[in-house]
Amino acid sequence: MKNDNHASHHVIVPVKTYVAVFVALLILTFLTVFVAQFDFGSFNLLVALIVAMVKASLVVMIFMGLKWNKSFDRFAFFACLIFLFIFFLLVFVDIPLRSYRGVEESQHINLKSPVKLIAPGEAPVHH
Amino acid sequence: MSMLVNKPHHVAHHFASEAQEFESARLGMWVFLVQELLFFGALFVAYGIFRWWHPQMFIEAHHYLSWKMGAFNTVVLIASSFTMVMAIRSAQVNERKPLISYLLLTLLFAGVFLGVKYIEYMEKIHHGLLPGHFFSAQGVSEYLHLFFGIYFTMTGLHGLHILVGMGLLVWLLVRAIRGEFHSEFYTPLEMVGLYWHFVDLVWIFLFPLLYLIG
Amino acid sequence: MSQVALNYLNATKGLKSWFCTLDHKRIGIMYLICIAVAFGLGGFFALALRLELISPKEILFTAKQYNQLFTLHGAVMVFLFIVPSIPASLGNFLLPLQLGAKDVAFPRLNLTSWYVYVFGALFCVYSMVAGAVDTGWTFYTPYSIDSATSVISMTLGAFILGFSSILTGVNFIVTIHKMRAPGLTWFRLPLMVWALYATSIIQVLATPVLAITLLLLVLERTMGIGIFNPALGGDPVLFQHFFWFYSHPAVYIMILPAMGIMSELVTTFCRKDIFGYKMIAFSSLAIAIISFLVWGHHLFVSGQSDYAAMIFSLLTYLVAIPSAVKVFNWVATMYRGSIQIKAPFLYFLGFMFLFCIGGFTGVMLGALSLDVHLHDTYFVVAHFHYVMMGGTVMAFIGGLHYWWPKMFGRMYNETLALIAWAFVMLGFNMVFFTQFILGSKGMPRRYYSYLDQFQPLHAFSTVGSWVLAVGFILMAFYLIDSLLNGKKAPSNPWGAMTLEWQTQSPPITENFLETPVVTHGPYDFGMEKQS
Repeated sequence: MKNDNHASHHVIVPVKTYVAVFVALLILTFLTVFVAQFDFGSFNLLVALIVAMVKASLVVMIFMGLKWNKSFDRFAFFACLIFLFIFFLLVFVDIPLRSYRGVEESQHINLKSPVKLIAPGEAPVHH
Repeated sequence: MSMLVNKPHHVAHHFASEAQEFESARLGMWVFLVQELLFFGALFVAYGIFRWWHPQMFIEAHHYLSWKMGAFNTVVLIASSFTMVMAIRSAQVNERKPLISYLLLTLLFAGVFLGVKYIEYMEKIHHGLLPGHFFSAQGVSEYLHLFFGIYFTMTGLHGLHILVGMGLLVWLLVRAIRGEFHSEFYTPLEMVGLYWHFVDLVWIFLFPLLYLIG
Repeated sequence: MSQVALNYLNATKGLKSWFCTLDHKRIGIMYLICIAVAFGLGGFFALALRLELISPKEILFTAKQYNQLFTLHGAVMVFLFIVPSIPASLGNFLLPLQLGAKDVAFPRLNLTSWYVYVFGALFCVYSMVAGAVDTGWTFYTPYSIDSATSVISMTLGAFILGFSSILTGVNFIVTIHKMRAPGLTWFRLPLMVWALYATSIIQVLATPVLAITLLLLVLERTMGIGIFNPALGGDPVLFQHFFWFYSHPAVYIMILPAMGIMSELVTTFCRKDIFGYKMIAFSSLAIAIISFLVWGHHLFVSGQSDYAAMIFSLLTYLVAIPSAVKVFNWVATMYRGSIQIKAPFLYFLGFMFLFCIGGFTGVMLGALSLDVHLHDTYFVVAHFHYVMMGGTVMAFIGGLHYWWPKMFGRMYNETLALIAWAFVMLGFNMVFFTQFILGSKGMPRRYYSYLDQFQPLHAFSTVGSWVLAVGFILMAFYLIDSLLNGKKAPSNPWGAMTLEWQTQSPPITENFLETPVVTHGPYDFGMEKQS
């Protein structure tokens, strides 16, 4: 009886599934480094994030077992992503849309920067 | 030989069944990870805002980081996640020795990760690429120190989570050697596993966002 | 002396049996004691600063000390008292009882959260003696980066208290999901449980953001990471976003469990099933979710973008809907009920009256154009005291009176309870209704001095604080007296239907002799007549 109870809550995943995910994650890591060499302009971030999300999904679904775990745990995890999204969204509704502060960087009054400025193209000298 | 005897697990007094106990632990862990996600998530919001404000500065800053070390550490953490699931699987099929080996390997990878991180940090400290009060390097953007404020906060908190994870792994090792984990009971293994994969998850995002900009 | 039945209070003896206990009821009592002390301390600060405000001139405190006083009042009341108040004390005590469970899902984690709370409280106390903070409980940058007072210890204290709150939230969510008695389906849960569930969701989702915000503030002070500091290229308004992403949902951490208590009180003392059970249950969840969408209304005059301000204003109105659903349903429950005016029910009435005023003024403040004028005036101070004190504290006291016989097995003096209630209601309205008038006339909050024309109203408000204090001192007197001399309470003195009343008062260590099997809803008073 105890064993029946047990089997209904635990899935033993075949080794080859884990190995396949491991290899896929390594390939995707290589991919993300590889594509970073090309300049897609403003799509750079998007490409990097898409690869990271694919990797994250593999970890969450297979390594963390959400593929088989159909209980409330799955709902809790994905629902919380919505709250994180809300946080991003509403902060970004404010800051990029402020009327008094443009994209230009030199808008801080009395900025006390610790950076020793050099001209663009000049190589920084490290002590 | 006594090492190979499985210790039976007793369900805590306030639970009616083993299934209830296990599912409670697992739900508790997931809910805990949800709060971890919001914890790190807030840092990603800050990252996003400052990257939006100073895109050129971020491009300049990431050249001071070594993508090779970042990529190496990514591979190390992925490997440790793999050995972690294999450790749990070994317990599920009652293989004591592989369980201990996989746990040791996971611990080793975690140590390697922190070792590489230490080298990276030393290099940054040497060049003065530090948060505002300690920043003493040259740069094109006068906002360059902000990147390193964010970099050290994010990787520092992530490193702290690795350290906590290593402590948990040692605890698991001791219990595994005592024979407490077997096909009938491996809840702590699975819970620490979830935590460990979450730490890996954070790094999966940190790596491209900090090391591969531009 | 009659034989005292074995119960959780006398099951084991000695201090160690309390400090190492895993019993949720004992942990609830330990929280209750800490929270009462915190309330006393915060109340003491409130009396002190009201006394200083009796005149625009210096009376007892310098301007700097006054700044420290209102900061400590706010920080203690928010982080040490009101956030943990109902969930950690009454909630801890009641949740497993109402679920028919032996304990919460993780008893050790429960005890840990109490120790974490005490540890965090020690940091806050340290901050008070080592040059009390003067930033306001909101710790706004850039002043909190520069202030010479002990910001770091108070911030770390709040950070640690946050973890205590998260652990309680995790524990409650799992307990409600996994520990319900046989037959106790989701829609047979008492509404208090639904409220605690919604509260826990907020605790788990919002508190980590406070933790990281306060940690970033500490790093800002120690290392100058710069993201909140305009002198280093950061943005102080970003701090406000981060802070209120937690702290606005946090006010619903404070009010939601209070609403849960209201549902219990109204059914028991009207002897009637709740009107619109599902609507009340779902409105708790709706409030929890919407609470994450409105934080920007604290930033209306901080210089956030106009679009953000408009969106946040609109979303703020939405919270009024589920809140009103609850109020209407409670009123509808009273309709043709068999009402018994006992002390807990008086607090229910007090809550209804004060919470409605607090709620309506909240909608007013959510309106952009009006908020520009009322922002940072006493109007806002009065508004949130009507909700927090008139709402949460009233409900907390009402709940405390309601479950007191269950917790300690003693009845308190009903007449004294009635008198104390009258003092609290009168004093509260004297203090804070006055502040609505002061605020609408333009009296700014957190000011040490003011124009002479405001003096009569300020003086009236201060006198009110004394009336309020008398009420609370009287209450402390008769509650403590009841422990020593009170009549023994029966297991179900109010004739309520929920599970906690089906076991003895005080309950045994594992709550029930046999795990109860639930066959009907929580407020099914019709069932009683049949049996």
